[in-house]
Amino acid sequence: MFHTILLDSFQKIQMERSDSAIFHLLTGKKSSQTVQDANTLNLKNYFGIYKTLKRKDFDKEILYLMKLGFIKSNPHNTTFITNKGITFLQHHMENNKGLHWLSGYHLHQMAPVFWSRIQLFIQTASNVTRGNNRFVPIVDQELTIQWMKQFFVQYKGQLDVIFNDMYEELCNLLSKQPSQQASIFVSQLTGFNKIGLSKFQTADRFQMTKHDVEMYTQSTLHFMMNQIYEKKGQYKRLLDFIPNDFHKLPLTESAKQTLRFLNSGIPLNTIAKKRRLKLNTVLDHVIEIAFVDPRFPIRKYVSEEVEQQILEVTEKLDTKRLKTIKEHLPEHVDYFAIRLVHAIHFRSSNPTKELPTI
Amino acid sequence: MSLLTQEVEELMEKHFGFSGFREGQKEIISDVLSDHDVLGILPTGTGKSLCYQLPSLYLEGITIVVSPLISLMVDQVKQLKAKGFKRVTAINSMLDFRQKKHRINNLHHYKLIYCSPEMLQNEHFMTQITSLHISLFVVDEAHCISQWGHEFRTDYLKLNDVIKKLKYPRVLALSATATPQVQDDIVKYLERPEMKKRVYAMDRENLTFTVEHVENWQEKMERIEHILRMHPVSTMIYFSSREWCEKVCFMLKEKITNLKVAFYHGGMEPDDRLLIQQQFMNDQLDVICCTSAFGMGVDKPNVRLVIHFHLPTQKESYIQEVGRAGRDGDSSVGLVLYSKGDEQIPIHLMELELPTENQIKHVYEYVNPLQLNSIEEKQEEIISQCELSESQWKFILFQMEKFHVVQDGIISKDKEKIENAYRHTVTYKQERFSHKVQKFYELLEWVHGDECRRKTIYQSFQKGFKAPTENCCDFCGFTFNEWEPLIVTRERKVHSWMEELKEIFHQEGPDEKTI
Ligand SMILES: Nc1ncnc2c1ncn2[C@@H]1O[C@H](COP(=O)(O)OP(=O)(O)O)[C@@H](O)[C@H]1O
Ligand SMILES: [Zn+2]
Repeated sequence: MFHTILLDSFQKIQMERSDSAIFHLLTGKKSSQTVQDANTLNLKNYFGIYKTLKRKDFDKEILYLMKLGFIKSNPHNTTFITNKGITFLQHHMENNKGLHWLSGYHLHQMAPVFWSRIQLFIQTASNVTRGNNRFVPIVDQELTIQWMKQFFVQYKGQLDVIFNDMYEELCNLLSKQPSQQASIFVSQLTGFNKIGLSKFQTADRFQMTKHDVEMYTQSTLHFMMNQIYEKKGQYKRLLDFIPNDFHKLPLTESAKQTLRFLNSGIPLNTIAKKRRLKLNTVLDHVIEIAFVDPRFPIRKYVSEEVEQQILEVTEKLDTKRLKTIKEHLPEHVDYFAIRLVHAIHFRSSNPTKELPTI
Repeated sequence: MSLLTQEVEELMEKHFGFSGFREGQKEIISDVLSDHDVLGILPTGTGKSLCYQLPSLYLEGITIVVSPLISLMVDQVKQLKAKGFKRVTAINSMLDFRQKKHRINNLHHYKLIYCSPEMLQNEHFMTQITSLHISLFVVDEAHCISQWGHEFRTDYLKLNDVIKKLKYPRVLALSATATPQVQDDIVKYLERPEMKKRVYAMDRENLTFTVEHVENWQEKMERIEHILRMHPVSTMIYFSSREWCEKVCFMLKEKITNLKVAFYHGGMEPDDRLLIQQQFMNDQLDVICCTSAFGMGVDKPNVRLVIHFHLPTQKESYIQEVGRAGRDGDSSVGLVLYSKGDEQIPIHLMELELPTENQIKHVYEYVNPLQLNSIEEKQEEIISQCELSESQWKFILFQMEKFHVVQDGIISKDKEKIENAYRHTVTYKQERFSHKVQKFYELLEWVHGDECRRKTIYQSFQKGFKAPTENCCDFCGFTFNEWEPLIVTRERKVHSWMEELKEIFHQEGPDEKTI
């Protein structure tokens, strides 16, 4: 999987940048060049999906791809993909569902937090429900531990219920994945009397590289998070595990400001006034936020009924042109509602449904 | 039983769940509680940590534990937290700036504070702890104080000063192995002449020692394979390098498919290290191929076999490593595999630990023109220019401080002083090296010896030993064929993810659907 991602990146980057650009992309380096690359070269989904990647390992994989004849370097110190590489890439793009679930640009900050929370909670609950309070936690990030303590206080006495719900939700989500990808995920989980496998051991078990394991794991996490957002009602428990730290959302500074106001419950008109902005600008911010914030409270703005209508019309007309869609909807449904619903539903989980440019 | 010990015993049962003391613990703990300074020598695995963890609960004020290894510290804190101790923390250089600051500013929240000796040279940290009531100061792995001990650490020589600054709290120095000479050094350098010595024999009656001489490493592999097929027991195999550790692990996995094998070394990510360690503890792994990075703080009761694929650098290390076997008291074996030429590796490793004469020269030349510069500013430059490892740099820096070439962090201008320090550093390095080589030859002699292994491994540390409960050693008639170890069998089926998930979430019952 990792090779496919590298090749796909080389193909999209088309000799315009050095290998380092791809390394920075995968590790999520926050330079404007990298962010711009991610956007203009259609590489958003890979942004920051492999933060722990070491330069040494990256270079090794590049060399390996060269040895296989999938890529070649030219005298200008850039690298291009060969025909052999393209054939390989096409085959794997078609056959690897997991690749299409990555949405790094939106989720790269939240996925690791989500992952460590899930791991720690499962280990803890699995032990505690078996009466074992003495175990060594396999996650030792202070923040995750703090979060979990709060979580336990908040849901005191409901542990059994939550634990069961979580099982149902996870089982449901994992069933939608190819069984190997689900296995890669589950084999890393730790519970009572069962310590999860390390990345290296998982790789060994499934006959792949540890980079592949990392990519599959990220893909599963992104898939889950996107599903959880989209079908909030279905995954109530897991929703709690997604960090709602808006600082981590990829937003412009101005949109972040707006979000701060929104979070303190200030109405849109007032925000516009206070910030001396046009209302339309603030609405743009809201769209921007809806696009990236999985916890976006859509119900505040659009009723379930209207949302359903918008989706139906969009599907029926098979277009994303706002004007056409608006014409087929009742008078009272405005452009803002349509854009919001689109932002939420065509977020990123499915790359073929890109957000319309407005 | 005095009132005090009774109360302490209750405390132990309540917080640690132990029903009685192990040899030495009661004596050391009651000494500490009756305000004595104590030097405790207790063999590995008998429970040194209880000797301060328990008093820390009982005493008013804070207990400080100086520990040389960060991983060890972190392990201990984790284990204590797992037992429900909240007010315990570790402070070391690995923490990021914010974490460190937070913990240092909140020291008064803790009862038990682990720290590295370097931290005790940190001004901010010292200001904080001198303002607190420190009731017990513990020096763990106290042999690090003596240059005759294995793992000599120069930072340990400054502990006397720290004790003074803390206004003389009770001192408890602990070690697993210390010759009489090292014991004297500990008392001398800590400047606590009234220290009570509590020395307990380190021999373990349930261990069997055996050494096998083979032709080459391939034969070592064959032996290991053969023995593990015959006795599929919980096993640790020690290597002196990461490469070998991985290589042999890989080969064993191919060859012995019914056992779970993994490797562990210092080059792995901390997360992975933790997982592997926990899997081993949990008997999910049978065989662990490791370097000496593994083991500190690992306390698995049923390790039956410790194999040395490579030799350690001295008897002390060997005793410590083989001591990880048989903590539950059942029959266990230490096997050393030796082939001609094996002595090259440890000697090479010892060379790497110390600076070469060229490096020493280079550093002093470098220091010479740097008049009036603070050493800290130049430190990185010197280290990279002279290609020094951390231990090499520390060695030289300590000599420079000792001979006043560096005073309060400032480099001296005095040429004569520098010249003098340089000569001493070179001589001292030679001394250290020949000491290390000598220690290694003692071990080598043991490997080549033709007498009872038990007698010869322990004799430089103590008089006599307990009668072994199992077979004594290869000279006294041990063979693997006759060995009958306890074997834990664990059912290991490969499950589908569905079944695995069910197990973790305790969802019993028949499968509704199969995927
Ligand atoms: N009195 C006791 N009874 C039972 N187990 C004990 C007792 N004291 C210590 N232990 C256990 O022995 C193990 C080794 O203790 P530790 O302090 O790590 O040993 P050391 O530092 O001497 O190698 C630990 O798991 C500890 O819980
Ligand atoms: Zn013997």
